[in-house]
Amino acid sequence: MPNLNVGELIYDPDFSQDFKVIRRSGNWVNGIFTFEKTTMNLQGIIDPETTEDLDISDPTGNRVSGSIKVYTDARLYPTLKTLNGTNNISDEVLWDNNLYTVDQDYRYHDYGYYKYTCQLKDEAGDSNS
Amino acid sequence: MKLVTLTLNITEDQIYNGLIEVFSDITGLDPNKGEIRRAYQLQSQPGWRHTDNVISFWLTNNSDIYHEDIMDSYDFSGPMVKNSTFTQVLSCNISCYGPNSKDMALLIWAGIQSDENRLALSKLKIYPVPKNAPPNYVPYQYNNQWWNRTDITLIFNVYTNISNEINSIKSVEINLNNKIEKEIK
Repeated sequence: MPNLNVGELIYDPDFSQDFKVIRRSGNWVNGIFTFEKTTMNLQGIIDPETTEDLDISDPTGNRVSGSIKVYTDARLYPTLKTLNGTNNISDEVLWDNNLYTVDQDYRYHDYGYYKYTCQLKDEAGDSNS
Repeated sequence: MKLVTLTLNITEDQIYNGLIEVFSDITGLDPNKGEIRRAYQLQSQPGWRHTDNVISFWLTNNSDIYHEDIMDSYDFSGPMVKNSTFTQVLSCNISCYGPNSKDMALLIWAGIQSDENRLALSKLKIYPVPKNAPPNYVPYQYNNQWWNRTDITLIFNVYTNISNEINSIKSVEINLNNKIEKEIK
């Protein structure tokens, strides 16, 4: 195990902030995955990578994409077939009134933290998605 | 603008549920464990393991001459109802994954034509077209592993009816006037 542990920075007030994570767990009903949401209050560092990128190429209307990076000591999941006997789809991060879907995870847990890339879920460009 | 309510005799959910039940009977897989699943679910769905046998399918309308005619009829027994009847020709695109993908695909391809399964589907007015192309084995690479996949396409004719209430004239008052007011030349 490496000796370096930078996990304490996750809670450093100079960097850390509160955010919510929505875990979506459920089961299959006749071929459709139905789930319930559980909200967790977490703390960590948010790096707003590209929070909103405008795309005007669709003739139907403008679309917005974006992503953030999240550093935390909690384990989040891009997807999971079974967790404690239930099925899960990807966790969502609620930050600054927008939802971001956990897209990639980087397990730096040997150094005290996890890093996640999360994609903006609401492409309509509204807040409070 | 006048609001018209159109009613379908069979919904997309009913068609999917009917097919899921038949596929489950044929293969023994359980749709309540994610072993048979609808593709393209809007909120996404959990993944599956390399060793899991999973069937995923979706429906789309097929271009076919049987799909083109819409026949209208009217029901006068109560409030006047117009029925527009036609045949939906649906293409059912099935992907079978897992170690038994080829077997499952073959079972579905042949089993859908059995009397029992035809009878079950006919209760929902879904009728499998007898001739379909055989299963197509298409393994693919993902995360540096080969994954088994076998695709089949089944065609179904679905009796479809769209009904709506329409306005009608229930009665008309007719007055005959026998007084000639003006001589017609």
